[in-house]
Amino acid sequence: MSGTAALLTDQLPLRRNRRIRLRDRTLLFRYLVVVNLILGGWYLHWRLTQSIGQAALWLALPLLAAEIYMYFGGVLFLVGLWRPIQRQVRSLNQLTPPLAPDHYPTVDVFITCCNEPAAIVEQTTLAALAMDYPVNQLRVYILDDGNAADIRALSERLCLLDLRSPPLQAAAAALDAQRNQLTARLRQVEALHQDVAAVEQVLSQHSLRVSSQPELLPQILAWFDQLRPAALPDQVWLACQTALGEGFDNALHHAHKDLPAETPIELEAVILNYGVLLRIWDCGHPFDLEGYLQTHGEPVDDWAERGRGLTILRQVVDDLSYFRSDDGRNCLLLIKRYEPQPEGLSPDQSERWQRLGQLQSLHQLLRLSQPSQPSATAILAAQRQSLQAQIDQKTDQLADLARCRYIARDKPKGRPHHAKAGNINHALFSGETQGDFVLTLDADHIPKPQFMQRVLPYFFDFNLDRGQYEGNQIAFVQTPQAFYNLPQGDPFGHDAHLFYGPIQQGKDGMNSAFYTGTNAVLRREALVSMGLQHFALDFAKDEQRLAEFDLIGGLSSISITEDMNTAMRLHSVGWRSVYHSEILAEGLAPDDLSSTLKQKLRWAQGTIQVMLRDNPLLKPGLSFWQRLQYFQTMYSYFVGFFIAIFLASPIIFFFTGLIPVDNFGPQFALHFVPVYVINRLTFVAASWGIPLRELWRNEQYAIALFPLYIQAVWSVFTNQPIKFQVTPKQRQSGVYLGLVRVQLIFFGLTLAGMIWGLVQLILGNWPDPWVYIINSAWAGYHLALLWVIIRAAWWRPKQPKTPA
Amino acid sequence: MTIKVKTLEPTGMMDGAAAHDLKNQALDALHQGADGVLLNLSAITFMNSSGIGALVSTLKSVREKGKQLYICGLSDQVKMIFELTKMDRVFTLYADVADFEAKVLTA
Repeated sequence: MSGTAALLTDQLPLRRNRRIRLRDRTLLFRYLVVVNLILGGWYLHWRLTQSIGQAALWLALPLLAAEIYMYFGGVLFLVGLWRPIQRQVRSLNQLTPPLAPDHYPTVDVFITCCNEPAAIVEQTTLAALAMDYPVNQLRVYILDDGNAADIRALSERLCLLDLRSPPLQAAAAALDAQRNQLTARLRQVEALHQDVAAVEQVLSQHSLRVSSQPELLPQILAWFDQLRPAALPDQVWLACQTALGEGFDNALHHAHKDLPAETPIELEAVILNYGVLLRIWDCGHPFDLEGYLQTHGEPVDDWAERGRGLTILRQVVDDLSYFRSDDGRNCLLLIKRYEPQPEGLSPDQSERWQRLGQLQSLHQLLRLSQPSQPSATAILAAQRQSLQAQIDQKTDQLADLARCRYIARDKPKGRPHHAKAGNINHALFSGETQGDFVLTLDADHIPKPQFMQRVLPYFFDFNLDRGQYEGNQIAFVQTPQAFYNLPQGDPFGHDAHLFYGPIQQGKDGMNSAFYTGTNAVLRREALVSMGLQHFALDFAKDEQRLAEFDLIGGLSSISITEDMNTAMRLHSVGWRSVYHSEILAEGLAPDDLSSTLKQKLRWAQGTIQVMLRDNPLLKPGLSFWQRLQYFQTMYSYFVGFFIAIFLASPIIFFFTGLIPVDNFGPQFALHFVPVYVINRLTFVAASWGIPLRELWRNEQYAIALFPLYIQAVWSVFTNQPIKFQVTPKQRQSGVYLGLVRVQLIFFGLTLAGMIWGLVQLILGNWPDPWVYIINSAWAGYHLALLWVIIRAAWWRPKQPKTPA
Repeated sequence: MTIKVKTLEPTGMMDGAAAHDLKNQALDALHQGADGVLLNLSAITFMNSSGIGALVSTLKSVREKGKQLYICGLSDQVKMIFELTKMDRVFTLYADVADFEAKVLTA
């Protein structure tokens, strides 16, 4: 642990960056889970067989159903935490072996916004541009679904600001310098053009093309003779002539034995100052000269008519080889070395031949170094082309240096827009974005400088065979959602250390980390290939959907929680996921009740939509544990109905005296208390490290939101039109008692019931005070739970001490 | 049937950027009066899913103009990526130019 801490020297102290590590207590936790499940089963068994309130079945059976639902909810929840993992935090710039910044992947940051104030978008964009990442590999796109003039103006302003910043100026200067260098090289290469063409013209006499006719030999020797330099000794020249003749003969009588007489033979004589190279090209079949020489080592019989050619060749030249070239011809290569004898020559004469030999040698070097090109002028042309392409590329890069960009889409009336998923997909397919990875950020989520450094290492594995990093099967990395505007006491219960802690770590352990729409990096390849597969299925059902392709071809758009469904689809086609438990961005939480409820309703409705349209239990490709994780989330949203039953039970008792449980006395205590205690202990083990106040807040909201959960299930099952509502980022002011009507009624009735019961007890109408006491304790707990949302209805932030 | 089909023959790697260039070429061709565009992909050495994504986007734009997009000459790698992303169901594919001419032009 200390090693990791030392590595992360760049980590700023984050106020809320608590590290919750369920992994440290996995064994204890699992032990408690097992005890918990056994005791819970035992309790349910007792309830089912011995304590159903026979007197009031209409009340007893729903309560029992609620208890069974809760039990199975608990089983799913706890099993989901069975294998929590804690990822080791690494940084891209500190990998071993290191990854050079030139090889960093390209990243697009998508800031999704829809009618947020420009100031909020500005803060996020500036932070995204300031992330610690090479400037040429990062682009920031403001995806403005509101198509607002002020956001467009903002992005233009930030783009210019960014271009003027020192890192961008340095990048521009570097690119410009490279381009200048290339341009200078191109000019020089162009200047060579005429001279190189002239050289090739001069040297062109050194090759000759003839047909396969023996009577051409004199003509060939005449051509060869005029190439003879004055300083070449007679003996050597004789040897060369002989070699050429034998080579020609070989082409005629062996290679072209069965070929027509017009089959061409090409002769090349490269005459250098210290050697002669002869190349004779034929069009015959491949022939293994090496192998032939090894098996036919001995000289041929003196009386044989043919077959001496090779023996002669081997004697007159220093090197001999026969090879097949890429163009399908054979080449007989003969090399003869010699010492020049310039005696008796005039300096002029000798110098002329020397120059020619030198020219030949350089020309040959050029040709041999680029054997795929047919001539020096072709090499020159290719060089010019390649330089021009490189210059164009640098120019493009310079023009492309603007990192802050704006994308908005047309939203024609009467056609589906697919909300946030449509916004992101449009950007993916618009052709304007090309990054290998996409960081999605909600408009208010301000990323920290180290975001990409921390998250990108997960996407690569080091391939030991090839000695390089390669992409793996990780489709996305999710990081926590945290908020910088939470008021003291978190009246709306936004802090989510339980979810962005043990729960996500547990999901990660089963390769089913949830994508939650923001603060996550996705692999474009994964998103697009998964999206295409699903699009193909939609298209097969209805070809008209092609018109929507750019809005539905990537992220899932069948529900208003596009994020969860996208992750599920990625998992179902075999991609993997990671949860990284370090806070790397902080955003704004809604700080009024109306916005909070809208957000929670959307999550609930979206989740249930996914259950109906893309059910994880039926979806092919998911593992058992992934199904369990996704189903657990969906299952949990049905809790509203059962909470209503729990809340109603003590109220009904107070006013009617009916008890839904037989033996509401010592027997009940004997069964209920151990289950309750062990349940709490398990929960404490799971959530150790999270402040009790926050856990209590979570519990309060889990219960107090029950009307919203009922509404969500109801609206989806009855097919009511559901709109994606963007959570407002600005405080909506007002008193929202109307929004908590149902909770107020339950609260009032519970309170009235307690008083009514007390009166009955004092009047002596009830013989057993224990039943009253148990019910009152239960009711008191309910009051404490419901109070949170009633209080939140008129909560306002404290006025700032200094007026703005 | 006489229809004017413009044939495009992209070469090399086809990623998102290359496919978008191709899209522009196709749309230019339609703008200049072609009734359809044939993409001969036989010289494509490698294609990724972003490349395919851009092809679907091209198909969408072409159909919106009431015209047609044909694809032929898939190499093994390209065929594999078409099948993996199930795009063989979305596009009508032909073995090569001859196959296309036999089935479409002379039909």
